[in-house]
Amino acid sequence: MTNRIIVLFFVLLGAVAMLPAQTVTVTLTTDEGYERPAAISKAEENLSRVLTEINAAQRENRNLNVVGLPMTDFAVKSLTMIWATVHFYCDDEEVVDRCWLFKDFMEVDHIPLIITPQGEEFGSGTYQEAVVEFDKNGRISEFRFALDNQLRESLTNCGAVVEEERRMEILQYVERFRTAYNTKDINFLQQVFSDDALIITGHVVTTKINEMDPGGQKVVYSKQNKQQYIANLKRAFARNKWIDVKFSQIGENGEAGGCAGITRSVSDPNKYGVRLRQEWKSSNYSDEGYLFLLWEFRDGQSPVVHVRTWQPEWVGGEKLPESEIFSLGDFNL
Amino acid sequence: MIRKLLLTVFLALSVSGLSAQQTAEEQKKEINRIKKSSLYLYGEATMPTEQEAKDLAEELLYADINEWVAGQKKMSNAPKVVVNNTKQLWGGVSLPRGNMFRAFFYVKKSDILPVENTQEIVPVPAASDDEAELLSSSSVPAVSPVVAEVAALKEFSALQGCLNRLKQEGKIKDYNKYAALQDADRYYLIIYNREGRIEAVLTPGAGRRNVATGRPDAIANYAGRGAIGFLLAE
Repeated sequence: MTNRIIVLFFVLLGAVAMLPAQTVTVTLTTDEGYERPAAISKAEENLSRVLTEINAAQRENRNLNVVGLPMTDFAVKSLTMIWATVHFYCDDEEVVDRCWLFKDFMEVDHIPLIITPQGEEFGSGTYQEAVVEFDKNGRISEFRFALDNQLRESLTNCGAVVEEERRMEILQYVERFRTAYNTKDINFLQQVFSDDALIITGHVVTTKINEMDPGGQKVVYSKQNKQQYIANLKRAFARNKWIDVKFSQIGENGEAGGCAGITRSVSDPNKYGVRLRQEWKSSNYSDEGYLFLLWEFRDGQSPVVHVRTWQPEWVGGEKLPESEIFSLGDFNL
Repeated sequence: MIRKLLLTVFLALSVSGLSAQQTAEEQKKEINRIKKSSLYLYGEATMPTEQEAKDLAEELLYADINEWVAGQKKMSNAPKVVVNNTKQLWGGVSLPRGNMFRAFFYVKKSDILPVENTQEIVPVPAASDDEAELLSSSSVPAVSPVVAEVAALKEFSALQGCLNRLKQEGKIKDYNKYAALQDADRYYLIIYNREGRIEAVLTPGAGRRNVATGRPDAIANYAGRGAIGFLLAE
């Protein structure tokens, strides 16, 4: 009898050890020299509640209970859209993260999540950080997936030509853009592309060998307008159970571009080019290539994408040369 | 007999799994203790490979150190700072982060020390033919004595004291981090690296020049560096 009790104890202990953390406590730090706003304590409490609910919902394999959660409508919508696509939990029982203070909001960038796909592999990996924004009262105003550490660092500190606040805004929208593909948020993508947006996609074609042409591979470019692109995207969303899009830097320090993943137009300073490497993995398809986005940011208006180009990373067994990757200079603004 | 063996194996795995988790949890607690403490500076990164995580975490720590040093008045007159006891606390497998690696570097602020009376011997590279021609032709444009004084500084730690004094003397109107500049084109830029060495001073304008060489230069040539801008008094 005693032996059975001991065995049962160890079995239960082992089982408990495997479970994700239940309650999550949150501590937000601020840099020396910055006055710590009173709302940070509220932000800590609110994020703790949300992460604890996330962990409980993941453990119980149910929908999130968003009733009463200290979040704005937009944040609730962001989070539930992600949850509808994939479940996850917070990897730490205690989250300690730096809180960045902006004029009208606060932000934490490295909430550690573990994605737990149901029955299928999910994209590039199981670890994913989240970015959480808070309003001035500490209420959660947005919840989105973060870009990887290196790309985030590069875009954040890319001091070449873009002022800090605009860099943070660009980073915010690139993250939202990426999250929209992962959550199949067609409404966001419809809004973010301008009505006259140009979408250019490169395809690798193999040419036939004849007397004049030794053969090989080359990239052929096709154009779509916004309507065509969105229609194709809807079809892709419908036929793929999950989509995992990842953005990263192009090469070491962005190759010749240095950390200038973001460049600003000289002729129209409201326009910015963002160059990224994109990995697309979905239930039925995967590819890797270079993405160029031409953004327009105007004060008081939501930013829009005027141009989206995609080029394959590999052509004929070789990486696409940096000089052939689309950049701001390729477009007449 | 087989049932006993299977049970023993299961119990052993449960306990060892629990032990491994305890080690990971202890390391997480230690990391959190350091992050919450105002006594430390740190850099943290989670990346697909160990080396990438370590490289990025180290870069972030150096950036943090430079920023902190710039804000410390007692460091401002020291010709050099030294960072002692840089430690590494990471777990690889023992600090799981899904399918990635977490690296965490930290240093105690009290281990960052101003160093007096040091002399560093820096080998001067032989001038290339182009540089030799440039120097001999004296084509480097003359700069104001204020700009020359700033351009003569080698260490970031000496910057704040110098810029403060120049501002008090009315020789410069303003100085700030590049990210905080309202109209960066109007400012001279001091470029420094993460080791705290000043690499270049660039003239203002859309087409900048390197003050030391007189040649065209640009911020884009200094990936991964920081910059301080200063504005001459008219």
